[in-house]
Amino acid sequence: MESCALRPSGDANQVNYLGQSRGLCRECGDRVEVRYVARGQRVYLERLCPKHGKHDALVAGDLSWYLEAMSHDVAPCPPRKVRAEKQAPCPDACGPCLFHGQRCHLPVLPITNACNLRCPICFGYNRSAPYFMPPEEFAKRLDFLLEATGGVDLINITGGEPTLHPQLLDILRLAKRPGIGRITLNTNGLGLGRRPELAAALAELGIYVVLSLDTLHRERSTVLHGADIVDDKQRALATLQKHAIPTTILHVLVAGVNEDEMPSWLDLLAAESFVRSLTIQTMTYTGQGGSSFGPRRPIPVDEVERMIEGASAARIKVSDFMPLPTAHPLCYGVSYLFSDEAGSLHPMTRLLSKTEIAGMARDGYLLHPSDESNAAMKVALDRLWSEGAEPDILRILKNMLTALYPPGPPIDVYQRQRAAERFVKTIFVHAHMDEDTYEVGRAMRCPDQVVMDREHLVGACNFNLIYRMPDPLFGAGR
Amino acid sequence: MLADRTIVVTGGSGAIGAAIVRGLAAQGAHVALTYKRGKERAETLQSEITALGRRCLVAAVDACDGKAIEGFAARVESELGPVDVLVNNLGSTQVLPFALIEESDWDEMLSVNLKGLFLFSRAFVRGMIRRKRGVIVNLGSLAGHRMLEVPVHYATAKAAVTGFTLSLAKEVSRYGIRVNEVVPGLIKGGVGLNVTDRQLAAYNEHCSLGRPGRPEEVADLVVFLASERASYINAQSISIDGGI
Repeated sequence: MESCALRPSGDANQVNYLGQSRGLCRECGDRVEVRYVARGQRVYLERLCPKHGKHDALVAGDLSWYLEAMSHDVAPCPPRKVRAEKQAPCPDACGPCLFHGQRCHLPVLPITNACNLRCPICFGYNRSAPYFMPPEEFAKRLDFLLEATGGVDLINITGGEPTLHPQLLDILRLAKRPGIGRITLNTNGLGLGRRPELAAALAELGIYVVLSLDTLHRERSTVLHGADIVDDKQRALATLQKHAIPTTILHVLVAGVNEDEMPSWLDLLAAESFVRSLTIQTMTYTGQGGSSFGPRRPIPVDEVERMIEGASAARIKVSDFMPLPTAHPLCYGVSYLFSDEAGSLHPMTRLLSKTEIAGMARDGYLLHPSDESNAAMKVALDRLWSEGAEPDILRILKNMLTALYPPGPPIDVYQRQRAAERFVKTIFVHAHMDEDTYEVGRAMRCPDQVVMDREHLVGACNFNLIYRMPDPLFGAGR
Repeated sequence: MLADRTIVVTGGSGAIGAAIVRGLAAQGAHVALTYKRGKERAETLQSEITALGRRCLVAAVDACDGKAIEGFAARVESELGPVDVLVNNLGSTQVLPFALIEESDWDEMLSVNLKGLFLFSRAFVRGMIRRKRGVIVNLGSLAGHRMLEVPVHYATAKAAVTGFTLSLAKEVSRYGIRVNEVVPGLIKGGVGLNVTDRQLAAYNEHCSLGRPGRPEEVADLVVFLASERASYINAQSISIDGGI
């Protein structure tokens, strides 16, 4: 993509062309020309299909934010293993191809297409004849994943609804092997609430749960999930809390439906020690349910960050977010936060610069402290202390150090990692692409890659928009 | 070398303490050791020592509780006999930068590391004076002698071990009691387990032998100082750091 430097003028009528690339036509699926255009302060992706004409989609609500985000350093980390030869331009030779700009940091492994819900917002496909991946096949895919990546911080096991898989625990045990750090399991939570023994088993195995939680309003639940499942969600939360299972709340933000619930999710993140992370995923209008869901209004990353600033009474500001170094700025924003048992959240940016934080996040989603970051942390800590600023952060840091280095024999590196997680929480803002916002420059930097078979890792949005549909197991089968 | 001597090792369940206990027992000593949290390790060690044919007593003793220490001293003398050697090994640290050390941390660190040194010494020196013989070996640290990246309160406490050793030696050497200090550098398995890769590399760069020490190497020095072979060594701080 070409780009040009410019300063936001503040003139609402001014048009600036920011760059040109390739995308998809929603109607025909053809690869078409797209361009980023600023109109006043808003940034759009415009596409031009020779057959279906022109269309635009909002990708950033604020040009200043866009320019600042695009200027961030990225962590260039090409895949270790790529598809042999690039046979076609992106996205048609994904696997990934040798032009892909990011290694796989979040491998996604779907293990079933079965689901006990029919959510109108879902971008997956439920099949009438459910498929449950045999553990042997799962193990083979893990072999390939480890060969392709050399090891990963975390994996994500998903579906359909993976807790419906009759051999789920066998699969999770297979995932506990050298080269794989954290095992995360996506779920809609219905199984957790209804089968308490499942949560106990997950806790025993040290699994991290990613709980879909889009609303706690009954009417909205019906709009989003096709059924009122609020009680199930409440039970799932209580079960996760009871078993102290580290949990990410995965919230799909849908324009015009659940935007006003943001304070609840922030409160949950702050107040509950078992809730370690909040991922706000903006609605993507594709897939079985999502493609016909309306009204269609994509919410860009920066708009979500502004919502969070408003919902948190500016305790967490837009400036406390940064692009995830391993992804495209229009795809992922992240804020790392110090947290304590008292239910307070303090953005890490109050202590460290974004460059310093990015230095710890260059290998994916989890922070990896280094000698440099530790040195920066000490200098920052001295600065706060000498200025008498941020006493809460100093208190949290002290509690964290005491937990990391307890009296008596030292704890091992994994115990230390677990101890640190209690004090650092995260908010990810994740904007998947749909056909309206798809642009190959974003796809080519995707760190979330679906283990599609035993020899291909495909970027998540490439999978959702292009490769899933013809997949005989996880697509529409056509 | 130490046949039938009765020796007390404080903090005997940690990496260095356990190596010292094993080293002393291997030379024929009966050992009483204290621990704070390492009950299981202490009891395993006790089985190991008694299997050698030595007597071994283990006890959880709070280093800041004078009465408990006096009681422990009486129990040792009663069960193992008069104490010939006291090894003041127990110590504790917190990984905290100066900015985060509060008054309570300072008090706790100096209390555990120094008050314990004082209370155990007082409890056992009394009998040594009566018998007009005895040996005390105090474990200090390179942190008290060199400019290192260690918590300030820990370094302060360890530096004080040197002053304690010198003045106590001056007071009790007239009774034939020798008091020395062993000053370890970075030792594997000790507090050194908390060092980062960068700190380890920096240590190795400044260490002539280019490596951290082993607990058994510290134990060998303690065994030597506890024995009659060190009969003319008194009021010394002896470094064991690979040459810094």
